Amino acid sequence: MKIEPVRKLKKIAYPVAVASAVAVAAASMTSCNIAKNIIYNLNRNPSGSEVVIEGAVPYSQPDGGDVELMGDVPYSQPDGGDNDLRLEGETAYSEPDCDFEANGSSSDFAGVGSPAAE
Amino acid sequence: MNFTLHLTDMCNLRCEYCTQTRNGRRMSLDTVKRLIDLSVKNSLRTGFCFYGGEPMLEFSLIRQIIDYCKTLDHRFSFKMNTNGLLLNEETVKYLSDNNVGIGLSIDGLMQKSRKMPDGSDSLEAVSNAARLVLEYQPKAASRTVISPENVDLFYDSVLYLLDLGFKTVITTPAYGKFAAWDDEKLRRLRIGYEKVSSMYADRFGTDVRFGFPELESKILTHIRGGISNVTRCHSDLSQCSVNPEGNIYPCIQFVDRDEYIIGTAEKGFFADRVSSLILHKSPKECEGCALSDRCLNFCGCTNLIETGQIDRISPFHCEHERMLIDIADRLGESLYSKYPEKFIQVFYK
Repeated sequence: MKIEPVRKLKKIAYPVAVASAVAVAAASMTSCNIAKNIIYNLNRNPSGSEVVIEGAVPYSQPDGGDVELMGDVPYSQPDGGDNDLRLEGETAYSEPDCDFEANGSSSDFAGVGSPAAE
Repeated sequence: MNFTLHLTDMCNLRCEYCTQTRNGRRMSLDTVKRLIDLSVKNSLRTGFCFYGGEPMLEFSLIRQIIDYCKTLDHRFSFKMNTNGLLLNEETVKYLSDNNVGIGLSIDGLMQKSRKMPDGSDSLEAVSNAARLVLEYQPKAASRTVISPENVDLFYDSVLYLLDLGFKTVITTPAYGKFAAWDDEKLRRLRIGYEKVSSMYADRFGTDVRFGFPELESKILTHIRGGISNVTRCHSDLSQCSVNPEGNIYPCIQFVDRDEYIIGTAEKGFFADRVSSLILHKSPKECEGCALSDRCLNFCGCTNLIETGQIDRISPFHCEHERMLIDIADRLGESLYSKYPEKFIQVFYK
């Protein structure tokens, strides 16, 4: 066994996903998927950067109430402060039971792509 | 905030690959209450994972915690990692009624590494527990450790777990000083992954499709452009571990190592310790590796138990990651070619 850096990446015949938070969210059919996709896109932000969600999140609340999207911001604040994410606005479903396991560690990964996440 | 609560360091199994020590320490309800205070001040939601040792040894404490949480105007979520031996109809019903997700540690035919204290086999008892858990929580996943001694039983163990009713099998190789991997054992591990991958492909388009995150997560690292878009190192404080005395650590393998304490239930987080331990960089020996961005080389937990340093990868970890990525890419290509719509539906949603 040895540590052996791979010098050249081979060509992979399944595509890379390209999407913006809003575009992916708009294509999703459930609020849980919207949440997952927003979190997924937040993951792309470098550590410590400000997260800005532009545009309306689809699927208005029937009562026009506030959006509250629960879940951990992927990159924690260095000071150990508020790790949680709150999106406020006037649209979108909130779904308290939405499961963000897909962003857990590999050992926790119940994953997008596995039946457990469906 | 999410906390893994090491409710006790005691366990009712004697797993050959276990690195934990048993000293009879137990967490108190007061410690948990302090953690809740800390979390409520800092976040909108608190997630607890009941862990051990064996957390079901502290079932009455778990009940007290859940009862206390119910009295608070705050959102909580619960899960548990258990070996299942102390589960029964009543406890599983209670846990399910209170939305405690049960992750069952069961190694299938490899369970022979996990003896009862009297040296007897634990497979039948844990299998019975699995059937009970799946009755109440059909989506429960198995958490399965592959040790070098049992690697030849890996594939048959996955089959056993699927036959038992699990829809998702979460595996990890045993790491650390009790896991003597060598080239031959690694070759056999690859054979096991190849066979599981082949079964995954065969079942993908059918109603007996199953989840195998070890490979699925690697497919996603390509689709999403890097591992940071798929999984997080818990050293970023997304899932802190708390020992029975209330000391807080970045993740499970750091527990009881004083140099990695990042706070306490009583005093909160120590900002200087937190910032010094957050690790998102690949180890130096991985510089220039084309797979670095798809690799778990930054996992401080694994690195710590393998090499003693959080930022140094072991040869086994490197070889294992390369192996997984190779097999996962071939699996992904095969699935995309054969079932393009299903593949996109599953992996790109």
